[in-house]
Amino acid sequence: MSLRNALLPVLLLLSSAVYGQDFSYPLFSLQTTTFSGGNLSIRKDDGTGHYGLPQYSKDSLMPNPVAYVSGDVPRVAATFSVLCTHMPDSVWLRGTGPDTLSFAAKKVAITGTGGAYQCAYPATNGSHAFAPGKVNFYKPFTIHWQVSFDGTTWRTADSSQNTLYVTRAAPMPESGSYRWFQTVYDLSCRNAVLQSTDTGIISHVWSEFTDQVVLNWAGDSLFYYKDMTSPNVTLGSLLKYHDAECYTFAQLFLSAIKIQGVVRTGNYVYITPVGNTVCGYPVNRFLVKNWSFGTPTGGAVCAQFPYVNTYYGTYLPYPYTAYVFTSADVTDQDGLPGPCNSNPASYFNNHQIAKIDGRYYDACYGVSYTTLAAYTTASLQGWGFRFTSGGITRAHFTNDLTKSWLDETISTF
Amino acid sequence: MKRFLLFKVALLGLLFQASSSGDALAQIPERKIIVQDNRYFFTTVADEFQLATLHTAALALPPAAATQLALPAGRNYDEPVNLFSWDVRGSWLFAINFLNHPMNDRYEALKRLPLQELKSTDSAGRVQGLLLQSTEQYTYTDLAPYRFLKQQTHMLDHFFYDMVATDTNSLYVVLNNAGNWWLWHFNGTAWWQKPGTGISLNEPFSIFYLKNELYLFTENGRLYRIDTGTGTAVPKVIPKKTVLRRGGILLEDRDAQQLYWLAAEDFNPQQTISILKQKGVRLL
Repeated sequence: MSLRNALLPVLLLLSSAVYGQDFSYPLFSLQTTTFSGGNLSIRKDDGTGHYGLPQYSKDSLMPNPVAYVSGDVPRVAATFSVLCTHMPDSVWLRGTGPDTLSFAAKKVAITGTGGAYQCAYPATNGSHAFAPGKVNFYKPFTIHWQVSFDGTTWRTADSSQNTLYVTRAAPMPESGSYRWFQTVYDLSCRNAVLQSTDTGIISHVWSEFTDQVVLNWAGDSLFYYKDMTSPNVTLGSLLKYHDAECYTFAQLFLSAIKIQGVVRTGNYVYITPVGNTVCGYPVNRFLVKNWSFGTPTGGAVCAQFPYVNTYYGTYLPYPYTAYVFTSADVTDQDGLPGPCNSNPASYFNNHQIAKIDGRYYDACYGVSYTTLAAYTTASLQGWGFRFTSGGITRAHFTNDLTKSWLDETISTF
Repeated sequence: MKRFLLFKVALLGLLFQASSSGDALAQIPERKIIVQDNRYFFTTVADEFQLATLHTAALALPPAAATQLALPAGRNYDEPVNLFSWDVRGSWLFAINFLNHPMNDRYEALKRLPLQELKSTDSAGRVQGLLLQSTEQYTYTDLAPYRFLKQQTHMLDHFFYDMVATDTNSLYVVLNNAGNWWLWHFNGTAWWQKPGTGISLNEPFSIFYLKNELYLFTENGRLYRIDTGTGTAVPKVIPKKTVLRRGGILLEDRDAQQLYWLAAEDFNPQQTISILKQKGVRLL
């Protein structure tokens, strides 16, 4: 008998004595994690409804997001499967999350037979609430689960990961296009993390828009006019199709503020030329930079608006990627850039922007101003009107920005 | 705000493909059904793209079998929702095209479209094309009521309106904002207006013209005759049961000079208009 063989029984005996709580043998596998305790509903961006329960499932490729209001205590339940030849009647389970958050040890029953067992951690409040009055953002919010056979010695069981949003206060109730979409939570909490004041939240949420790169919860870009025209005018359609008009970016910005419980009325502004009459026609078109003004050919018809473009039926034929005029004194150039687009649509009757505490926020271009006059000077390049005669539409323009001005219509989003 | 009634139109992709297969169970008329010259007309509005569809058929056919015509007009989804404002007289469809589009001039929103030029939803082409068309064509006359309102205020608050044509070249508009309302009339060449009196209008409403009288019916089931000479709203007594429920569809039978109120859930597209009238409550 070799020495090795002689010592083997002794080593095995020592092993059993010292490592009697070695749970590498029983395989604990987390099956589900369910959050409760006042968590907020979250809509899917694709418009197919709300995320359901459980928020974490082993069989799901993507865990569902979770949201709470700051000051609330998260409540979590979990289920496990256990592979083991022999299992006791019960074990202890506990969890630890970020920011010293813990879920207390609970003695839970083991069910099942034949080597396949289950156990369930009951819905349990976390050790403390999310810091009150403060936005938070966990991506991911990881709970490390541990198991013990004796309540004293603990071993890692498994872990769950969910994106978890904490809003500063209870979100404003849904209404109209304002819905609690995941991207609204994500964009807001991601940018305003740790903010507690209205002004802090507003300024940090706004920072998402200032570089013309606006990302949804998955990190995908949202386009401002992928084509020169878009039928998408609601927040829901922007998030569903990742492409939309100006209305929707203003709505996204305001939604990301409202989700934090920031209340502002008169926050949605529709701007359009005032409609002053020039050469017998109301001025009702404007050009956003940049357009090139060539040699004017329409001065005989209207000296004040001497540049003229003509078109038959439409100036934006399929596939809607460029303005197509029959003749053109004024031609579209790159800019101003919008989200994910260096040359979005720029020939408009109206535009939608946000107005908060007296400041105008144009989320499409990521710029803000204190007056519409300042906005006009910085963003616009010309005014226009049009009329149709004999099937041909003549659009007259001027690059003299003093020839009209913007009028605002204010409502509450 | 609760909507006046429910509406659903299936739009697949970006093609205007409202079903013409007769599966109209999800398509609830928006605001009203008009019976005129032995035909009926109603509109639905697309869930996503704001555009309206006109449904029309002979009276003997149920709504599920109605022809569906794509309108280059519609309305937005802004809260509080103001339902699509439209009417039919003779061979014309009138509409206030208040959909949100960067080229849609609200002052040009009043449209008069020749019915014969409307295309079926199967052949109307892409949504983008219809939206652009809605901003460029068919302007009837300057929407003076809105222009007037804008001269009074920059703030829209409880902004509701409706329009009814009294013949092929004249119409009434009632417009409410921030506790004030106005009665407007266009006679084919000019507008006049009178400040509305007699009631406070802070809820959506519909107006209709029957027996040479203008009436206004509110979302909460109040019915008024509008004195077009003075702009005064005079309450009309209506059956109590209509007051009990919000929402519903007005069924305006211009041939019989009758008005009915029909609960939205009682609208069954497989049933003829005569059956729907039996299920409704007669108001006038």
